[in-house]
Order: sequence, then structure tokens, then C-alpha cells
Amino acid sequence: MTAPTPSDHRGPAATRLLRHLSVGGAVAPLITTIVAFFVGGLVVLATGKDPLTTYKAIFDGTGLNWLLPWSGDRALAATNLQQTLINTGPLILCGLAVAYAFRAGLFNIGAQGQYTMGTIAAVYAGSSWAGLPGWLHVVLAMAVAALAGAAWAGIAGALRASTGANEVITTIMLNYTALWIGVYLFGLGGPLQANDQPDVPVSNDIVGGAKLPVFWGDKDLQGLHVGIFVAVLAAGIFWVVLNRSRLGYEARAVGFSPPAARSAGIGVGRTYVVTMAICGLFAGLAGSLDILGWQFHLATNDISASQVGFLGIAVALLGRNTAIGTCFAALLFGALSQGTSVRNLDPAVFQPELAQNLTTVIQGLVVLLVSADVLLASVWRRRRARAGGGGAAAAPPTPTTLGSVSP
Amino acid sequence: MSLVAAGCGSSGNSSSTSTPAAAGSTSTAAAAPTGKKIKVGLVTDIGGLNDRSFNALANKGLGDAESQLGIDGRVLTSKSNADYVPNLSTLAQQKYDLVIGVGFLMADAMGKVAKKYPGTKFAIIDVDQTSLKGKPANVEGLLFKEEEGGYLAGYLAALYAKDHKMTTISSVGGQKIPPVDHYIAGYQAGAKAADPGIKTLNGYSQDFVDQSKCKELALGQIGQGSGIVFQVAGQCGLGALDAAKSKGKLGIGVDADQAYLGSHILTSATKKVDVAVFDTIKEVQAGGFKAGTNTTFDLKTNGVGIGKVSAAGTKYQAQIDKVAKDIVAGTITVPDTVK
Amino acid sequence: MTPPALQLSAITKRFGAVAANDGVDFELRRGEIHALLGENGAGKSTLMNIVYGMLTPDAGEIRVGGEPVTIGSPRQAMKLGIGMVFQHFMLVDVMTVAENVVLGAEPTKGALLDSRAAVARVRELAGRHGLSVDPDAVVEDITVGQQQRVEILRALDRGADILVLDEPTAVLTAQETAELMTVLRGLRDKGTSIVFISHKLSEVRAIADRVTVLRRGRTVGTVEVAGPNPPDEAELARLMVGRDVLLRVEKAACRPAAPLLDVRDLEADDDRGLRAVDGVSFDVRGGEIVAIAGVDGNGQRELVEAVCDLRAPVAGKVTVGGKDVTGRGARHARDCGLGHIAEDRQRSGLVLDFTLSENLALRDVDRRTRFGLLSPRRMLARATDLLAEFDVRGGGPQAAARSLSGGNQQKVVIAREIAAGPRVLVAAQPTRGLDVGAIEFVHRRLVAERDAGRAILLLSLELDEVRNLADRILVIFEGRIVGELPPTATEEQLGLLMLGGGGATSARASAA
Repeated sequence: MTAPTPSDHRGPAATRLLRHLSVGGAVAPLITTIVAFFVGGLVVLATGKDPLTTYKAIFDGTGLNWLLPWSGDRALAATNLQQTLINTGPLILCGLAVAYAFRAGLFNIGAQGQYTMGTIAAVYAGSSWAGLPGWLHVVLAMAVAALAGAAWAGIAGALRASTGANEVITTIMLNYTALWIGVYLFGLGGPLQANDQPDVPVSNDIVGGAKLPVFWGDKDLQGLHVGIFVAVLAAGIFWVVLNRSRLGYEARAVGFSPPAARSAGIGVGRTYVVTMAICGLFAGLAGSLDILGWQFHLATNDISASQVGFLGIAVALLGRNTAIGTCFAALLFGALSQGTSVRNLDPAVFQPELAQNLTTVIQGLVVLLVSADVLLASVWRRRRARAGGGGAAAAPPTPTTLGSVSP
Repeated sequence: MSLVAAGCGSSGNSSSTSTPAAAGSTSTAAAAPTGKKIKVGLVTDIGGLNDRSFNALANKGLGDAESQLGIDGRVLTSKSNADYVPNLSTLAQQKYDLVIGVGFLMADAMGKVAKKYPGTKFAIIDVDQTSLKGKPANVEGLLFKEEEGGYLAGYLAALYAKDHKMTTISSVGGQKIPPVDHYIAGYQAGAKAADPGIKTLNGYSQDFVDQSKCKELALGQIGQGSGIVFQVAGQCGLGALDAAKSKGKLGIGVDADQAYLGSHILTSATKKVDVAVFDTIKEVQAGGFKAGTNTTFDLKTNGVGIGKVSAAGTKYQAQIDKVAKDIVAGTITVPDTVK
Repeated sequence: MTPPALQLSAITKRFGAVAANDGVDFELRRGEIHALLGENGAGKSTLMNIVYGMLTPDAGEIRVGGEPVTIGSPRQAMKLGIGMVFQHFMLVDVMTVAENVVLGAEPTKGALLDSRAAVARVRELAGRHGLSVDPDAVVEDITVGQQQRVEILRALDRGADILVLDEPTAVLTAQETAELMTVLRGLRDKGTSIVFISHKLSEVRAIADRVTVLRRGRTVGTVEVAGPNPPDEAELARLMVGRDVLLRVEKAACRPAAPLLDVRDLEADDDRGLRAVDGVSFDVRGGEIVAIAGVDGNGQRELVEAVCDLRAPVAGKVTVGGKDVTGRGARHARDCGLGHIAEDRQRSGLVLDFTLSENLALRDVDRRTRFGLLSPRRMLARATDLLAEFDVRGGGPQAAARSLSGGNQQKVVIAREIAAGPRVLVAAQPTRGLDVGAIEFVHRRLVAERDAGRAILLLSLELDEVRNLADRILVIFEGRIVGELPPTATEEQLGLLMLGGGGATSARASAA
């Protein structure tokens, strides 16, 4: 590749990627998804199974067939859909946590750690303060979790602002730190380890009043809790903050061009801190949904096994860092994870062992294709710019763009 | 053959055969269907069937029951801890006669689901039934005295180490949870009994799946002078054994007999989960389910032990057999908590 | 008579409904420097991209050395002996000069790159054409002017005898521009035919043998510059813009009021931590334009940044309208009434990916909110008004700033800064890279703001601009103000001061 030297106005890699990702409609992500499923189908075919039957089984497993009232086992579909939506809520929030940073030109790889801090805070708040009224307890626990996530993410923002430390590195390191904090707190002999189970590295259970209400399904058997509404509401707030608030406006300005933002009087460092903290709010809230919604306690192995924060990166990428896109991408990933769970796949249709791998294959393909899509968009713009059509690459310092042809 | 190495023997590649075994269960496959045709479901923990130890063994027990007892089996693997409750309750809903949960990690989900489906029989491996919330009467806990197998492995390791001028041996645990610590406690006690001067190292990877984490930990221990690495971390632990191999050290397998991994496997501390699963299914088929209690498998009942001893260790076989006899006789008491 | 090196006839290229080139004729003789002059967006770059094979014309004929050709790719263009130097260089920063020059046609020894041969080849080539550059230097370590030479060397290395330079001086300092001129003349004298794209009249008159003027995608005409009756700048400007352009702004006498900007003993370091502004003191009164003149790199950038609180000063004090703004952050300075037309509009003046409406709100977004939320409708309405008032063309309030031409982008910056109603306006190189029409607009506007009582601090490298606009001229040299001159000062007087007062020649001043 050649590098334009004298005046590179395109900014850091994150900014450039952001420019390509934050624009464009739903078409590219849709194509991306279809291609991913198509390639996944070829994989199924290679194992000697029928892709269509397999996808039908996976679709039924997601419970989305519940929306088609004429189809099969209603009760089973309902249970499946509940699980899909339980997955989806935290995925939306973690996706937002990544997307918001992205819009400010930051890579938040730390949603997992922020999520973990959220779960720790939620389990602490949920298992303490037993006397509180239920609704207040739930709200407080969620707030504490969100703030814990915000504080955790804010560290990365503050390091970026004060020392210029790359947030990719710091957030990854904070992921590990969060994991080990959890292991310490809930490990045998740890300060927050369960009082009544001395042999088990797990927290106390949260009290009944701190549980999120289950509105669909059996509340003792992981029915659907109201967290999904919290997540969708958060997506709405995400949109408003980003597009309608001064905070979001400044974050976007910084994301596109830190020097211009600085020159306009926006505190760039401060924006980094605030932006990361907002990301952490979302991820921390995601943690509270899992704890208050169905998990009710936190074992050390739960912390290390959780992937939701990392999946959030893929969700944000596929969702193009928009509120609505993130919601749909989260639903896709949540459904995929549920649909390929073994209990929903007859071994005669597709081998359960492979089904889980299929999920990973499809997820991986989506991320890969989204990245490839960015690459294509970039190449295309470059070509178009050369063709005199006003693009990203060929601007400085006196752009010869189509827009200026008519004086 | 020694006393302890008997049992299921060196069942070489149990993992590779285990996968299709779960699927190919039809009545025709059962050459000699001896009993009532019951439906048995098995739910693995997040380690998955490829852990080559714990879940794989449970699956083997189910497969054995399918072919020998003519039962109908189904395995549900769990991808995340969010799968436990739906997996268990799906099987209960579909009127399985027996639902077996594999692993300590599932205790909580088991408690909830068992309470919801009092008519279904549940068994859970590695969990004390009395520790379940509400102590549901339809659950049988299947426990193992892992420390006894660990003791034998540690004893052997220390003998070998002493003769080969090694000062240190080590263990890699997945997490500090009872079934893991039982092994390690026994291992350390056995080692000290064989050579009071030996140094033991121990660490936890906080993971049962990701092999790189255990490998890293083991490499660290080897760097500190460990000559023999005992893995107690399921699939993750395979990485620890790999580390031992790549550094020319010895490894000790866990749960299943992992001698097939190569000559660097001194022995394995085994826990015959397959036997426990098979026995429990047989019991239920015969109508004799011991609900609301625990069944403990130990050296005496051949539920734990050590696997094939490599050529390097055969000269200590007699000493090990003697120790095993003492444990069975109760003259040696093996601790089950790590100090 | 030999056929022309390059002849274009009736070239037409459309993008959608817009014709970027509409029947353009162009003839490049052997061994001449031919300037292609036109406003931003007149179609100069499009035409040359066609010549270099990056665009295919919709109609028209291209002849090289008399033979009709189709040029489908830059590779083909190179084969035909056409080389191009882009405004933004196509160099690999981390590779050496020699590696960059031979890239794509590397001398090899077996399967390996023969770097010794590459260095020798580049050294020979550079020597032959008088382009001094160290073949072993890494590109990112050399100056922009030297990087440009690497580009020229690369084209020559491929055997180019037709060289196209797209606005080559836009990124150069005055000194580097003068050196480039020498290099180009040398190349011409050795027989290379050169197309020199520009919109700077003085440059064109200084270097070109002939000029072809494009306006709105059409050829307006070709004139001899080197001949006995060269056209003056006003004539060229008229050809280019299509109307008479005032090259000198008319302004009334200055009526200075109280000082609004006061800078006392200001010291500031540059990015490497070296002292760049070394005890600068001056004030600017309401109703006057004070220009700071100097050779590029004498602390102007750091001075502007320190005054606008974008760079923490080491010592000293800046007051705006009597309020101390030193080191209290850019927002505070702006709240105190400081406006800033940034030196680099694309980097710091605008958020290129924002819409015009969003860009116009950058300075005062807090005043555009309602119930704490932005009101897009109000932002749009205000943007529509401002775009009309400042005659911004090329897109409405919803258009991305990126899609506008440089002149219109600059108008947006000026609109935003003036609309905020500053008492002090700092204008750093406000006309850099603009064509004459846009320059005229900016100059008029600055004078109008002066007449409205604002204090205007102008930093410019263009001596014409400084003498034209300023009521007082301060000369900066090595971070110090070394003198104050009236606008009537001659270029020689200014040049002398700008070079530190001694050993000055008029060469630098005339190059600026």
C-alpha cells in the first residue's frame, strides 16, 4: 500500500474504520449475514448433512418460530424464544458499549471486563440490603452495576487521556484484572464468597426482592425477565445521547477529528474519559441483567466462561455501531447461540457437537466479512475518489471533488 | 496387572469413539437388551465431550449402557452456564426416566430443576446431594474419593522424582473447587509420604477448556523446577501435559486413563465416572434408584485409582500396590483439602 | 515541426449529470512548462487523471507524440512516458528514498533486491537532473519538499518525458517552491515536457511558458506567458474566474479602538519541547488588522496555538477583552470572545465527516440545545442562514464538509467563527490553497469584520496578503517579534526583517 505523506487528514486507524462503519444502511450487514450463513451451509453440507433441514432446526431452536402461530410445539417454541431473548439483552448492551466507543474513535475491547465488574457489583448489591423494597433494590443494584462498569471503563479512558496509553491494550488488560478480582472475591476464603457454602467458589445468592421480574415463562426455570426491555430502552437512550445530546455530539466530533474538536474548544481528553465511562455503563448494566435476571449468584467459573462482552464487539461491528443495528445483530447472535444448543438439535439432523462449532463458524464469518466489507468500502471509496467523485481518500489539501464542480 | 490398574483398563481412544456412540442408539444396536427400555439423558458441563476426561467418561458410561442395557440415551452438551437449566428441564419435560448432570458446576441448576420435576429421577456427579438447595429427594449424588487416586499418583511421582534427582513436582488445577482439590490434596499428601523432602507446587488456571492457560501455568511450574506435572483441569489440563512433553518432563493424567497421550504420561489418577454412570442407569432400570442420598465411589469399590503406569514407573508398581492396600484397609487416611 | 508531446482533443468526462471535462482541448509542446490554470473544481485534476490512465474519458482523443492512444491504466501511461506527481504522495514512509524510487521496477540479483544497484541508480538519476536527495534516507525522515523530489525521481526513473505535477506547491514552503521551480526549469531545458497544475497566478507567471485556463470543465484559452507580452495577474484571474477579480482589497482607513487582544511575554515550546515562541508581546486593537509575517517555521504555529489556548504556554499572559485566558483551555478562550480560523481547515478547522450543519454548531453547541438536547431543526435553520450569508456553495446544510471544495470549506470555517461574534479573530493562513475568487471573498470578509470593530490577528506566509490586509505588520523571526512595519513597507524591507535583519536577499521575498 502507498501512504499519503504530506498531510494525512484521515486520522488514526480507528477513525478511518469508524468512518466506513458508521455510515451505510442495512444492506451491507444483511449481505454479510447471508453470505455467512451460506458459507455455514457449505460447512454443513461438507459434513454430509442437509443445510436446509439444519437451518430449519436451528431456526426452530431459536424459538423465533413462536412468531409463526401455525408452527409446531408452542410451549417449546416459547421456552426457546425466552432463552433467545435472555441471551439478547446483555448482548445488546455489550454491543452498545463497544459501539459507543467506536463512534468516538475508540476501540473498547474491554466490554467483557466492564460486564464482569457489573456482575460483581450487581451480585454484591443484590445479596446485601435485604430490607429494601423490591423495585428499589432492583433499580439500585442495576445502577451500582452500571456505575461499576463505568468506573472500570473510565480507567482506560483516563489512561488514554492522561498518558496516551492505547485503550485497546488497557481494556484488554482490565479484562484480565476484572476476572482475577472476581476470582479473588468469590474464590474459597474470598471476602464475598458464599457464607453457607464454604467449599464452593461462589457468591451469596441475591435476595428474592432483587430479582428482575419474570414476565414470560416459569420464573423458577429461567423464564424471560424484563431485562430485554431494559436493553431496548438503553438502545434508545444510546441513540438520543449520541445524536441529540451535547455529550454525543462532542464524542462524535472527537471520533472523526480530534484536532478539529480540540480546536473548537472540546476537551478531547475529557471526552475520552466520559465516553469510556458511558460504554462501561452499558456493559455494567448488561452484567446486572444476567445476575438479577437468571443467574442470581456468581461463581468464579461463571466469570471465566462468560463471552458476552467479546461477542459485543462482533455485535457492534455487524450492527454498524448504530442503536437499531446493534439490537438486530444482538438478536441474531443471541438466537444463533440458542438455536444451535444441543437440546434443540436432533442428532439425526445435525451432529450436536458440530452445531456449536457452526455457531462459532458463522459468528467468525460475520466478523470477518464485516471487516472485509470495510476493506471493500475503503477500496471502493478510493476508486471513486480517483474518479473525481468526492470520497474519503483523495481530499487534502485542496480536494478536487464532484461537489465543487459547479461553482 | 495390579489391583488398582484394573477396572476399565486402558481404554485408549475413548474420546474419539464417544461422539458417534451418543448418536447411534437404536434398539437394533443393543445386541442384548437385557432390561426395561428406559430413556436416560446426560447433561455435560461447559467442558464439552472433547475434554478427554470427565464429560467424555460420563458419555462412555451412557454409551456402554446403551449397548449393554438397551436403554435410550441422549447427551446434551452445555455451551454456557445459561444452558444448564434449559438442558436439564428439557430432558425432564420430555419425560426422561433418568437425567444425569455431570459436574459440580451444575449443582445449582440441578437443585432448581429437580424441585420443579419431582417425578423425574436425577443424578449428579461430583455433587453432594445434601448440599443442594432444598435437598430434593429425587436426586442422587454420585461422589468420588478423588484424593485416593491422587494419593497414589503423588506417591508414584515422588518415588520417581527422588530417584531422578528432581526436587519438585507440581499440579495444575482448573479451579479451586472440591473435586479438583480432592485430587490435589491427595497428590500432595502422597508425595510427602513417599519423600517428605519433596517440594510441591500448585496453581489454578480458572478454566477447564482453554488449553493455553494450563500450558502457560505448567510451563511456569517447570521453570521453577517441577519435573512432573499433574493436571486436574479437564480439557484445559491437556495443555499442561503438552507443556510437560515439550519440556521433556513427565505428566500425570486425570479422570480418564490418559496414557494414550504418549510415554510422557507417568500415570493417570482415574475416576471412573463411566462406571458410576453405568451403575446408576442399571440401578434405575432395575427399579432400585437411591434417591435423596449419595453414593460414594472409592478405591475399595474400584471407583477411583490410577491408570496405566508407564515403563518409567513400573519398577515402583509393588510399592504403589502396597499403599493402595493400606488405603483400602483404612490404615492410611487421605486428606481431601489442600492446605 | 515535431508533433506535440501530448495533445488532447475534445475530452469529455461526466460524473452523473455533471461534466467535469466538457470538450477540453490541450496541447503540450516538447520541452515546455505548460501551466494548467483554473479554480478549484474547474476540471484540471480530472483532465490529468485521464492522461495518467486513472479515468477513462467519455469522448475525445489523446495523442502522445502524434500517435493516437488509449490510456487504460497508470501502467500504460508510464509506458508512454507519462509520469505523474500527485498532491498527496504515493510513498511508503518506512522505506528509503532509493527503495521508493525503484519500487515496481526493482533491480534484482537473482530473486533478491539489489539494493546497492538501486542506490547507485537513484544517485546517478538525481545527479543528472540536479535533484539533491539522499538515496539512503528513510522517507518519513525527510522534508515534504524532498519527498516531492522522490516522486519526481520515481517518474523519471520510469523513463517519463512528460511530467504532470498536480498542485505541487500546495504543500511546499516558499523556499521549497523556489527550489522546485529551479528543478523544473532544469528538467525542461533537458527536454522534459511538464504540465504544471495550479491556481496560483504568481507561480504560473513565474514558471510557465504557456498557460491553458480551464473554467467549469471547458478550455477558456491558451496564452503565452514567456512571450513578449505576458498577461498580468488580473488578466489571468479574469480568464479563470470569468469576471474581474479584485486582487487588492479596498479598505477604508483604520480606526483603531481599545486593545482587545493583549499578549505579554509569551513563551511556548514546540512539539519536540524546543522553545518556539520566545517572549512575544503585542496587542491588537479593535478595528485593526495586525499581521504577523515571517518565514514558515519561525514560531507562527505555536504562537497561534498558545494564543488560542491549544498549546500550554511556558510563560506569559494572553488577555482577550481584558480577561485572562492563559492556560485555561480553548473553550474558555472562546467563551471570552476569541475566534480562530485554523491554519489547517481540514485537520483542525472542520470535522470533515460532519455535516455542514454540525460543523457550524461546533463552537457553540451548548447554545443550540433545548431541554439539554440538540435540536436538529434549529441547527439546520441556522446553518441554512449562514450558508446563504457566507455564500457557501457545493452542498446544503446536510452535506458532509468533506464533499466541499477547499474554498467553500474555508467559508464554512469563517462563517462559524464570525457567527459566534468574537471580539478577537485569529486568522491563520486563511487563504492557503484557495483560488483567487475565494481569496477575494476571505479578504473582503476580514476587512468587513475589522470595520465592525473586531480585533484581527492575521498570520500569513504570503507577503502580498500581509501588505494588502494589514494595518500594522509584525515580523516574527525565530520566535521573536523583530520589528514592526507599516503596510506600505516594501517587500525588500519585509524580507530583510523576516530573515533576521542581515544577509537578506530579495529572492526569498519574491518567492513568497
